[in-house]
Amino acid sequence: MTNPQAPPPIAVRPETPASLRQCLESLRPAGRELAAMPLSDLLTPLEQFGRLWQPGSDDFRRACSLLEGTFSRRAVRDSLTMLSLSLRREVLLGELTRELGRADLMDRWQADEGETGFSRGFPLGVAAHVLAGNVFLGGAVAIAQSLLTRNAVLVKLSRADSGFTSLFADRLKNLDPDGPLARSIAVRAWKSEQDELNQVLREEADAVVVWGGQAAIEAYPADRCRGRVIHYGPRLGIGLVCEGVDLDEALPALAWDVALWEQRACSSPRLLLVEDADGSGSLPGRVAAELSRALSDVREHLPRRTLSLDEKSEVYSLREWAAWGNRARVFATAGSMDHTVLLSTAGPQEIPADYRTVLVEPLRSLSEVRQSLAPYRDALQTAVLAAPPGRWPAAVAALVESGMTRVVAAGSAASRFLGLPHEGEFALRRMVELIGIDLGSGCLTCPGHQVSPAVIEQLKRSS
Amino acid sequence: MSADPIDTLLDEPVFADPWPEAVFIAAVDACLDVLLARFPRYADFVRDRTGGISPRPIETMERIAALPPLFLPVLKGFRFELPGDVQTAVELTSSGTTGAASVVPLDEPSMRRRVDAMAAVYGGLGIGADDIQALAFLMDPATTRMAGSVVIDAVLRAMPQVHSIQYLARQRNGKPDFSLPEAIEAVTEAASQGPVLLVGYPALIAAAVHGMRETGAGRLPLPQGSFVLTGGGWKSSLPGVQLDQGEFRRLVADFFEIGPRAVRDMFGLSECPAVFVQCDRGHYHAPVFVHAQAIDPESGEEEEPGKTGLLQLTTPLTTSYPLLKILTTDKVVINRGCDCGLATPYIVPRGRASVARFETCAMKIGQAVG
Repeated sequence: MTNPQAPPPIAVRPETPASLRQCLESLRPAGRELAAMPLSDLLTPLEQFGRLWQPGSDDFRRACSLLEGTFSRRAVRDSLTMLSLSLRREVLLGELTRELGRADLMDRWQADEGETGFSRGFPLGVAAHVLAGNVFLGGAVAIAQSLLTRNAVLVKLSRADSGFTSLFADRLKNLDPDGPLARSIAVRAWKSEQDELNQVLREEADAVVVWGGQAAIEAYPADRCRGRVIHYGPRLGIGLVCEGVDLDEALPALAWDVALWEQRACSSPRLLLVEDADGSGSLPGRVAAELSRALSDVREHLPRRTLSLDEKSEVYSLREWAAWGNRARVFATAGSMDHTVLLSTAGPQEIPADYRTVLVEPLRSLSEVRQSLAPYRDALQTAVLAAPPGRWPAAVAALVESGMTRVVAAGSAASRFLGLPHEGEFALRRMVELIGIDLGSGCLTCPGHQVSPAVIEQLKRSS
Repeated sequence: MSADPIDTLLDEPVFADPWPEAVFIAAVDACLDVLLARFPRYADFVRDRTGGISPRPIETMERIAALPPLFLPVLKGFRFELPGDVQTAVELTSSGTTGAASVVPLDEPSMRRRVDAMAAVYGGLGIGADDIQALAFLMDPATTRMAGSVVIDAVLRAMPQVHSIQYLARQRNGKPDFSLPEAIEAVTEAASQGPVLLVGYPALIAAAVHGMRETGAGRLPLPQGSFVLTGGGWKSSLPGVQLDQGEFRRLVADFFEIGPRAVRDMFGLSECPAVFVQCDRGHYHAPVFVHAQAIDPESGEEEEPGKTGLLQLTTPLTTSYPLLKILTTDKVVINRGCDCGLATPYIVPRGRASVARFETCAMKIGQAVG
């Protein structure tokens, strides 16, 4: 249904290889200007920009009208609020310090203790982000990551983009229409099948960051791209419930994680491992039943989006298959498709996607976590952990051993954008080239070599 | 009149007005009685989904509404164990165009009823009123178990007015084999002998018409009483043959000079013994043997007229397999009030349910299998 409040869809002009090449060329000098911009000059407009998304603002309302429907009002409102807060100067400084080691990594050469070794970060140049259409903040995060690392950025929209990425980019450009920030951002769209356009990115971009499904990842293999390739491919969200945890607290929080992004985010739990130490199935059964209740309750805060007839058919299908294949017990609200909890009765199996569907799989102990997750190892990223405090270290160790790179407390699967490693590394660090200068010291330097104080002075000044 | 409630239903006028609800209900009850006794797994399913309440006796439409439907995709992967007292006369398969083919075992009474039901629909719409020869653009039933071929063959053979049947396609080494020159020759020859019924896949019929036009024949008038009856395959066309039902009808009606009302399409499923044949206004009417509904799969409730739902079919004609009530993945609208004069509701197909997924970073169904 059309939302009368919604702005018209943002027109995207047809792209050709030549126009895309020209776009990337125009971003290069802007990127150089951005690289030369002092950090404080960057943080000030970003903070100002963040205020645009505060609740009650025009842009807040406009974004809400674009996004509500696919996601709940609450998810949209809270995400925009979080976005606004995340762009505050002190928050960004903190995140930069955590991710890059020091906030001024890209602003000055830092000397080591002996003042003979120096290091500094440099941008990669023009970073192209191939976006996924799952979570509307993906484009905003991509742009923010690029600018914070002083890379000019081209984002390729997903065909499922809500329009928010373009709105976000337009507003950012409007802050300083003639400044380097505005010139450093480009938003483009083309069909993924138009490989001649993909080829331009492969040939021209200094970095290609691919967010999304397997087809997108395969379109930009490292050996066919000139620049650095960063893949954030398809992921399977996991949950782990340990014996002894307070289920009354944990399950509503887990339900929140399932519902917040309608399982479109890679962190949304879809497979829930539940300890079943005595093999009775008691805890898994209780978790399945109570998670189903919690998912019903969470609708009060995060109402389910409207399902099309095709989607309802798919939900019906997955429930029927589970029941007829004797593969799982179905827990759901009668007459409703707001969620489905499947309690596995036949070991590992296909894991449904979307529609707030969770597969509960029993395991005897934490030592089985690795084996249970082995089939999915290449797709692991975030685990939502519900465990009593004393069992956290062992549970985290089991999850890390299984291949998880992020462990979050129940209810926190999507609580922050920056400041923690993403898939084994700080995302900002991947967007930076670290350069070292060695002026020489120690017994392996050429006999008679002297460190030049003038060079040290020049390096310090150049910052 | 037969005393068997199912056969009694078959004795009703095929597009009876008013709909013989009581007869239908009695047939459902009789059919369900047999199925519950024959198929314990089905009986468990019915009991589980009805909260343990006995579904029988079925005495009202509300009781029929409370019966859980079998979901059609499940039937493609799940086989009910046949009891010893069911002697399979024929096993029908679906075309498998949407994945795995389903297999429908029919005993003699179930096959007979299916054939009688289809013949009654043909008769009710005036198809085959004259002596006619049939040219079947279908796989020769000697080479396939596909329901379309096997049942239509049986129906044509049961119609005394059909004095010959010639098949123009066959399965050979597991692949369809269709000879265009043979088809052109057969149609040309048949046209000179009397009324013709061309029945089968629209793609093959369209290919024959295009082939004849390419040989220079502008038209090939068929004698009065001829019909073109198509079934299935609107999307799976031959290379170079684009198929739109309206265009097909115009093309064929013009070429054979039979008028668009003599070009009809059938809508059916191998799992459902009732077939929906277009009336002369192009609407797929439900015969009395079937209760067709558009269902919201979330609530299980019937949609209001004019609103799209999944097609649910309750057809009390098959006792050799639990096909009494099935929910399909076909999207339909159920309408009433056709200008053709038939009072029974008709279905308006809206395609098949499918989900177009966009690339996301959340892994999709089936990508990770333990």
